[in-house]
Amino acid sequence: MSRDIRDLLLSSVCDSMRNVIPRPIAHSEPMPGNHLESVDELGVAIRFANPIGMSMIMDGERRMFSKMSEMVFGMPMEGEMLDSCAQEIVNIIAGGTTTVLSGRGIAADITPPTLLNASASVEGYEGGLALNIEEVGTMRIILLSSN
Amino acid sequence: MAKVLVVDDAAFMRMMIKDILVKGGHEVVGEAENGKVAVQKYQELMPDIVTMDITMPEMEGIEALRQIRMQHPAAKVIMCSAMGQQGMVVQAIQAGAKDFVVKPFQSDRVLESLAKALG
Repeated sequence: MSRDIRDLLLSSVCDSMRNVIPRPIAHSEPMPGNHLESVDELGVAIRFANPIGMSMIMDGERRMFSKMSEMVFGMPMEGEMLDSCAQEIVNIIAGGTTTVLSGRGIAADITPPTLLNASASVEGYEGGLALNIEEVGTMRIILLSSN
Repeated sequence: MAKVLVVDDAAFMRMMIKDILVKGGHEVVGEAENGKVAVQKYQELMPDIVTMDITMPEMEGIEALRQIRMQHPAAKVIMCSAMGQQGMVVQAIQAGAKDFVVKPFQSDRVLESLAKALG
């Protein structure tokens, strides 16, 4: 994965999040190192097809996704419906990312989202960001080189 | 009041859309979790209108739209997708979609789209 593509995807995901989530993203920082062992309590994976050709996991605590559901859809979720809601939130952010990429001259498609259970292992870690979203919590954006 | 088929792979989003439609006075006669099931359910239920997601497993929404319109040229389908880039909207409209609602949406936007498509 080229660094240019990785950085472009990360910045486009952040722009999409700002369009979707009606709260300031107060702070973001790159996650250092070249290794990540597992996802947090709840994660959702989605793949950006060529020319991007990489996968993304967005993960965090279940209560973070529940608060995000309240912000975006007007109601907090729990249980199995929270799992489905988390998939939809990531699908919306990824779909918005393709719109941002389109504005930058790149046509990219996405796959349907896949739910990842707590502590699912992560392979092919290439980098990411930890975003602190005001009144919501911390969400990680994790980019993977394959799958 | 219209009879509506709601198509989305996310149970959460089907619930949200169903809630909006019922509060708006419509009847949700069926739900489908992918395009393949949507084509079958359209034939079975003959709804007045369909809300259709795009990114779904088995069969994506624009292909399902094409197949439904091939069998039922008067079918009314509104796309509801997070992929709102111009190329996707144009592709959907060329395939016969009546409107394109970008997620996340407000309930008014969905109901206005239905009203417009139903004439």
